[in-house]
Amino acid sequence: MPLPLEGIRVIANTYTWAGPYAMMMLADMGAEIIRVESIQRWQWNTRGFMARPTKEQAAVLMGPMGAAYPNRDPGPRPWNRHAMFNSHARNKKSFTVDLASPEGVDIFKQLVAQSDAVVENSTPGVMDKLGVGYEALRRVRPDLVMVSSSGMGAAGPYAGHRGFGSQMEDLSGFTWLRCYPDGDPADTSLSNHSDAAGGAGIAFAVLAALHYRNRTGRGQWVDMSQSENLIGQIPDAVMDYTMNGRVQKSIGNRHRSMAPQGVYPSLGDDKWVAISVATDEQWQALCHAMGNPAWAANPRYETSLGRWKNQDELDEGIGRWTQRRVGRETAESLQALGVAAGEITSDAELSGDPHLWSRNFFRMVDHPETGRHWHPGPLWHFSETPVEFRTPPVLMGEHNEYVYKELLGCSDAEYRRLEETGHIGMDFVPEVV
Amino acid sequence: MELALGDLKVLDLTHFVAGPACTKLLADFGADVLKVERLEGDPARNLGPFFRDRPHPDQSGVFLHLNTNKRSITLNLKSRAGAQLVEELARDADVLVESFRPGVMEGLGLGYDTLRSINPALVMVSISNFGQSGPYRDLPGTDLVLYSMGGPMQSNSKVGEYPVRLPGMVTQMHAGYVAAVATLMGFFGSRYKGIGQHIDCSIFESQAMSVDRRLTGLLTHQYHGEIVPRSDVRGAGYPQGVYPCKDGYVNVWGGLQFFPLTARMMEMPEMADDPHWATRDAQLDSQRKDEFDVIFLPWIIERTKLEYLQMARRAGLLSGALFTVEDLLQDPHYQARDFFPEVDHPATGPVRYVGPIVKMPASPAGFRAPAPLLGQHNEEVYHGQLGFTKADLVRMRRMGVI
Repeated sequence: MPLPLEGIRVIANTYTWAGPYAMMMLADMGAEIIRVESIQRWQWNTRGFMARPTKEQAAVLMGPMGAAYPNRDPGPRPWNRHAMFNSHARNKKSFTVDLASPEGVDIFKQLVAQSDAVVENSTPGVMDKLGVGYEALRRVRPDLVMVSSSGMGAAGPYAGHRGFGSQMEDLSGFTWLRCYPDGDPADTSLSNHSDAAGGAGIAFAVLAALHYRNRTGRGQWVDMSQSENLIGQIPDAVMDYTMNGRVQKSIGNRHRSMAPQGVYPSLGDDKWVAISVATDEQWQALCHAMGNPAWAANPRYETSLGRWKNQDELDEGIGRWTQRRVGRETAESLQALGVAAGEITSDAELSGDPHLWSRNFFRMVDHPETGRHWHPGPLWHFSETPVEFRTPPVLMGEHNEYVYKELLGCSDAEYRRLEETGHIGMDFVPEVV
Repeated sequence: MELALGDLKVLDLTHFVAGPACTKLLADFGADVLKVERLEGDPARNLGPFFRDRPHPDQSGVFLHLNTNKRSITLNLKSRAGAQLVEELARDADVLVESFRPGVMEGLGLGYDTLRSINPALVMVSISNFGQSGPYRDLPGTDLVLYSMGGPMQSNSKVGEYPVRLPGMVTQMHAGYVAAVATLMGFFGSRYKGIGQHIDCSIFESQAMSVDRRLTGLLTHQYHGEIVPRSDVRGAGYPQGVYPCKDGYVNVWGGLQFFPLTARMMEMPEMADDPHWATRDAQLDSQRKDEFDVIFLPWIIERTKLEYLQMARRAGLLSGALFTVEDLLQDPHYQARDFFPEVDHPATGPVRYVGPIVKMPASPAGFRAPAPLLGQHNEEVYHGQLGFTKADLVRMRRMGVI
């Protein structure tokens, strides 16, 4: 059976997380995703944090996430071995071209002429400056769909604004709503949820615009602002302001109407359990699980309003109970009584999660430069066209022959010339460190 | 004007947040979304915040946002007649989205096998806490609990402190976005390749598969077995991290290789290559960092958020500011992009809403209609579309079907 997106070719000029994550979604359902890479320049925070870290840097300086290589060994081609890339790079293709040269621009345009969509997440203006902006590309492919994703969008006073995902979260009002409620916002650690949300927004936009093209024959250029896309996920706070003039602040792990809800200490170092109580029955069930302690029998806690008003006391009492118990056992005893509860999982704990394993979430992948490992898998389950890892995480330049010879019709001699002029390769030039 | 998804017909059996967030994206970009509500209405109608803080089923801000551009009919799914009406409507739909607890649709006689026999090309999308199978299938979940189990919550914290979740309903909203992508892919399979199918979306897995640290973390664990520790919330170099300013807080990324740009922004260019401040060793020295704060704090505290952003942009620095919701609504950038358009609803009058997630100029998304009143389209659908007489409608209402 064909996959839903088979026959759709997307050229992906994407880096870091949001764009590549969107491309993973489309690749998993059969779109041909061709990554555009360059052996002349390092793409920031995409195939790792450095092109060629030494073993010593990987062992000592970079920390577990920075040195996310098998056995912390960067190997001869570290860019093919980093988890921040390999975790979403299955089912994709990659070719290399130097877009900074006129010849590279010409090659890129020839490829776009044979493609349905281009997705890119450079700072607004960069593609235009290179000569591969929408106006230039639509001349070679009039019905092209192009999605440009940037931090603040391509138009407006802050169009050129530069920042990482975490700073887009600041400018979306998101950080302000998620910091410690009673603390200094300077203590707020980074989050990159805007990349996850942005990935979904980009993939949605590509498909919606392609469907429009299929129906009307008209392509278009889509302007995606990661910050706007993320504001779409906090409408409750926005509506509270536009309807009531209220400027919401963080309430931490609490809920705006139900209580108790929180994260409580568990037995062990840095172990926590989350508990949410929505109804009177669930409160009674929690009391039962705690062994009906005398403090919980207070009539003030019988109604949801009473619990909400007295949540400081409740949190203290619940914390006294949870801190003597293993988090997983606390969660399971509450779940069995119909109360929502769960451990705050580490990557190690989630890697052993029985539910994920029962749903065929982890997939064994044999990768030519990293070996055999279990990789995180499908984002959803399709009954007729299940997500499969048809090809392992893509090596840089792995599909140069396919793109240059099969798609663009280069002769062997021409291919060799493009290797010599720095377009084609599987290794960064030595100057890239 | 032709809308991007103008020929997509969605039968929407979802309620609360995640499901309606999925169908909202489809509706905003042109899909005809028919929302089937139980007789007492989608329980999201009871979610605050409410217009002028007055609880009312037509004045929930959450409901009003999530259901723009949809039509609403009421239907008692538990009655046999009600289930038959769903079958009738599914015959003509491209996509059916539902968010009941796993097993409920089968119990109503509306499982995928039944629906497929009625409409083989139908795409059925089921959104649930933990998915349609597996040991957690029937567990209760909330935004907090699903994020804590599936997401990278452990690293949202400082050393020695409890972890903090993402705000509001973000875990469910995000699952809705992810499900909307799955829905469109299923629709492509159906429309262009004739494949009908059932898609199982788990909110838990939308976090376990989140590119926000979790994906990297899971594979990192396979690669070298270590766990990523709590990070230093401020990061390396200086000035770096969140600082107070004149009217709030800014997020500064001005250390290490960016330090010379910072020095010029502060109009103290002599610092740019002063070895006391600018070398890599100095930048990584935590005492030097404290020493620099003595210069930087008085400088930044004189600036507002917007002043700092502008200066940082000019200097070529990456920057952020902790906008409040009020900042968002008053900001010239979002205003210039018309990102908070007014929507006029009969129960509230005009109110500003969050706009569509992307700008698609040839087929612009937007607000054709506000969220529906409960059962607002009963007559249009049952009489106009399905051909029941007005007398039938009266009878159905009396029997508690609609």
